[in-house]
Amino acid sequence: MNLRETVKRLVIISVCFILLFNYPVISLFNTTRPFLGIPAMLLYLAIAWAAFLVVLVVFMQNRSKFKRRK
Amino acid sequence: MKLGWLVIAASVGYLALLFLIAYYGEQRAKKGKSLLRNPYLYALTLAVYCTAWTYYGSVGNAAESGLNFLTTYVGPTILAPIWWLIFRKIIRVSKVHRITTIADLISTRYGKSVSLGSIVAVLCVLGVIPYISIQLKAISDSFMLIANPDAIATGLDNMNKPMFMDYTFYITLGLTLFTIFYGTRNVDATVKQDGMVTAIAFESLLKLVAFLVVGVFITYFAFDGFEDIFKRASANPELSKLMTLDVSTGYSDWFWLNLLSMMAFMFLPRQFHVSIKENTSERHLDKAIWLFPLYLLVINIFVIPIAFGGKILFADAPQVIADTYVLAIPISYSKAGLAIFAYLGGFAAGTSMIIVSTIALSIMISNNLILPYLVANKWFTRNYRGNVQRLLLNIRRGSILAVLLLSYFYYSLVSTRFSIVSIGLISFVAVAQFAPSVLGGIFWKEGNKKGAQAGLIAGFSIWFITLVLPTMVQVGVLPGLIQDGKLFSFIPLEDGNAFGLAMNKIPAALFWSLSLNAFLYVVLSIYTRQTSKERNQAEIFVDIFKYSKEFESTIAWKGTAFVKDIKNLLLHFMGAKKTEETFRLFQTRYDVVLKEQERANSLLVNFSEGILAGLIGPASARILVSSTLKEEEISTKEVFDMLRETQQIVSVNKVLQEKSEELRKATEELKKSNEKLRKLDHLKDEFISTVTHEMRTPITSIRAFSEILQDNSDHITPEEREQFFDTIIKETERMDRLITQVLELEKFESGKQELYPEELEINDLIRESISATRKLIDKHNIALTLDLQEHDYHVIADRDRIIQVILNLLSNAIKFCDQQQGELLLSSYYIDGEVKVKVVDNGRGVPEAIQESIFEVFYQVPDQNRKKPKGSGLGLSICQKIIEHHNGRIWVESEEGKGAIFAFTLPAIFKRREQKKEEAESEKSINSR
Repeated sequence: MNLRETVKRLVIISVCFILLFNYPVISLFNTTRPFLGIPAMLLYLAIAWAAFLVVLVVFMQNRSKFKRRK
Repeated sequence: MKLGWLVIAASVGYLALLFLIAYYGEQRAKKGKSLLRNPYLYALTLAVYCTAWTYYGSVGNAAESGLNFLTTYVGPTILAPIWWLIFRKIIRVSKVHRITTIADLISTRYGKSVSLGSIVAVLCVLGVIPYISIQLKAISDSFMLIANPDAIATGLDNMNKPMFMDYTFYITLGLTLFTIFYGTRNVDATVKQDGMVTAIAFESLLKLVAFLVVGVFITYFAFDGFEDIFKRASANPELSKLMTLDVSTGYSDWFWLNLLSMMAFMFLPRQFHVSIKENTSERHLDKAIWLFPLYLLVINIFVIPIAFGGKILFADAPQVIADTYVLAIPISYSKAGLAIFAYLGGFAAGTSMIIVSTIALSIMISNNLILPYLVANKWFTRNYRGNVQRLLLNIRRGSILAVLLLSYFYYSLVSTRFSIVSIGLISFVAVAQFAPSVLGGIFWKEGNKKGAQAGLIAGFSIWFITLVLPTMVQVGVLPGLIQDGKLFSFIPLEDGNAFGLAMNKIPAALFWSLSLNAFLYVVLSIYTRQTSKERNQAEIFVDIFKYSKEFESTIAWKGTAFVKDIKNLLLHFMGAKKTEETFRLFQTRYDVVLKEQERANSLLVNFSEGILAGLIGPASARILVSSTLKEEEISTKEVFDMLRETQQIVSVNKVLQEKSEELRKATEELKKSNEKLRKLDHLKDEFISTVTHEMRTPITSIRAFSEILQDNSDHITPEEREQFFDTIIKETERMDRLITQVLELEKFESGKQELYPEELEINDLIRESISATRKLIDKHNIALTLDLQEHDYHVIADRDRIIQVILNLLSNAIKFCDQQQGELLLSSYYIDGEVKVKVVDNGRGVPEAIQESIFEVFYQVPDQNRKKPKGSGLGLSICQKIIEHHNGRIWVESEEGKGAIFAFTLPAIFKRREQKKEEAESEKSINSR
């Protein structure tokens, strides 16, 4: 993957998660009712955060693999 | 539980440990095994972002105002993929320009402006000193709490302070010592500080582990896990409300605070220091962009449980400040060891921030606030004849001491009255002001100095008025400024309606300051002109990846200077040894020899200016060079011409590189074909010698027998005569066969061989070949299996030639079959548009090494044990030629000792013969009618 392509995809990832971490998406979880014993908002943020990490790791890993193959 | 002396011992011991770790880091670097080359260490140093604010303040903030504490960490996290590209660019720019601070970065981008650098440096000092002071406050508070646990009952404010203030003072001195010792190792500010960075990485690790340990203790020992805490918290409506965002201001606060932390993470002086200045490889970012967010996630897992746990545990003791829960809970459970460990974690969080911030600020103060004015001072440059290097180091050391003392005084006078988070956020807003000029600077060529200056001053002023003034009033300075909660009696200050916006104070102040800042930057940049110097830097900054390799030739310089002048300038600042080194480096890089009386070209001037920039900062270096050498004004056009030229050089270089790559490949191919030719030549020699040898054997025997017949015709019995003639005929036949084969091979090689293709059923050919060799097979007692698939495909081939191939393979197989229990399998089937024929024997097999060679001319399996093989060694070569002329493939698969499979394929077509026949017949019948 060339640099331009990498940059494009990184920006897309970032924008997606900026949206997921802001209004209005977070208003879906803005409730005092707990989910699985944990406040809904906290749980959502933790899961989204973890998902973000997975996406980034997978992306960077594949990118370096691709580079090596090249 | 009185732990006073134990804690003091632990703190001193910890500082000593830091010295040791820093020493270890430096020793590793000296041995060439620098830890800084490790991307994981790089990610850990980025965690200097997490200060005592994170360690103590997050919990306090969460307990008082809920989820907003998370914005500080969510911001840098979700921006991580984008700071990958921003940091990459800044790292490259800083490397080539020898930039070490954010003030240098902004000043260099806008034409190495001294005034801009000074503005940024002042803003940093004003913004960051309170921030350092709250770290001291956190360390001091935690110390007071742990040294005198009664404070839990009485509240910290009622403690008698002077003695503990002294404690903080000594800690400050200890930190000053460490920072001076490991932060000013080298005059050249661009040199990596291995010792300091290693220590910081260690502190990041320690604070994370300590916080997790406390978190686990509170969650799983003081309570029964997350669910228990949340269940008990949800019983308290006040706490459960904290788990949601306020609908009226919560969402916009959340957004703006996220934005704030994104910018703070990129532009805080200490972040710049670890992420840009101490970076050893751009590739470290690849790992850091997920490792650092991971760190942030992990360190935040227990914040809410600790906050809620504290609220529940201290429900009856409201004097316990939430900022101290991390420590107060272990103390209230009388866990001395845990409490000290928790204290050390907080100590690490505070000290790491203090050390790095102080170093960064000291470089800024010396490079942007002192040196530019010093080197511009005629009196100083004329009269100062001492050791400039020592002076430089002393200025930096003095700055470190000044920063720390200022922080200490700020702490003892002001910051005791504020919470950690409130002062931290005010610092964040200050550094967020750099966003327009830095981001604009690296992505937008039109951004200019006037815009940057106006934007920064405006943003800075609004920051000061909206956030700093009110705090000063609270402390008792200028009490008349605020009346009825309104600044200057007309600016509303209360949260929820701050500065006329339905927001809280910090987000509102950020909005106003940043908007005006960005607005002025953009508008002035569009409507005013850049100087040629600025334009030059703008081009290089934005297109840094294009220019970074030819950096010295990208800066336009015109004037008259002699090599000697430059040498004197460098001598003055770096001493004889370093100057020699620098000149040597330049001469090897550009492959030139410098003579003192010669005129210096722009390359040398730029190179030297770059080296000086590492010592005294780019702005001061510019002043020195321009005042020492006779410079001429440069027009923007000249800048562009020069850049175009450089770009051409770059692209020519690229083309040259490609060409040389091609050349290298061509040479390699030539080498290969040469090798092949040599081999062929060798083969040809062998061929001739083999042919002659093969010919000579029969000729010798023919001649011998003929002579016997001639000389002894009388004594020979008729039987003997018969036998001799037989032999002569056989030998003649053998010669004939050999010559035929050689001729045949030659015909194939030269392309003269003619084929007579027709549509054929391959199985017919196989059966025919079998019947021709049946006797031979029976004679060798070989068990033959046939596996011929019936299908609807034909091959177009020369019948005799294909039979020749099959016969050859068969006779080889018979020859090499197991002598006692020979087995032979002949199969044919259709697959993927081809007909495949396999001849399988159970002989000794063909070793892998020679599987390709056996198709070569006159190749005979090299085997000392075996007698000279029968046959000429031409059979398989001819087979290969025949099959290749039919567009097929022939190969052998074998493992030594497990028999061999000789196989060939021929392109197949769908049967047409019948159709043709039918057509022909129907035509006939039509004609005959």
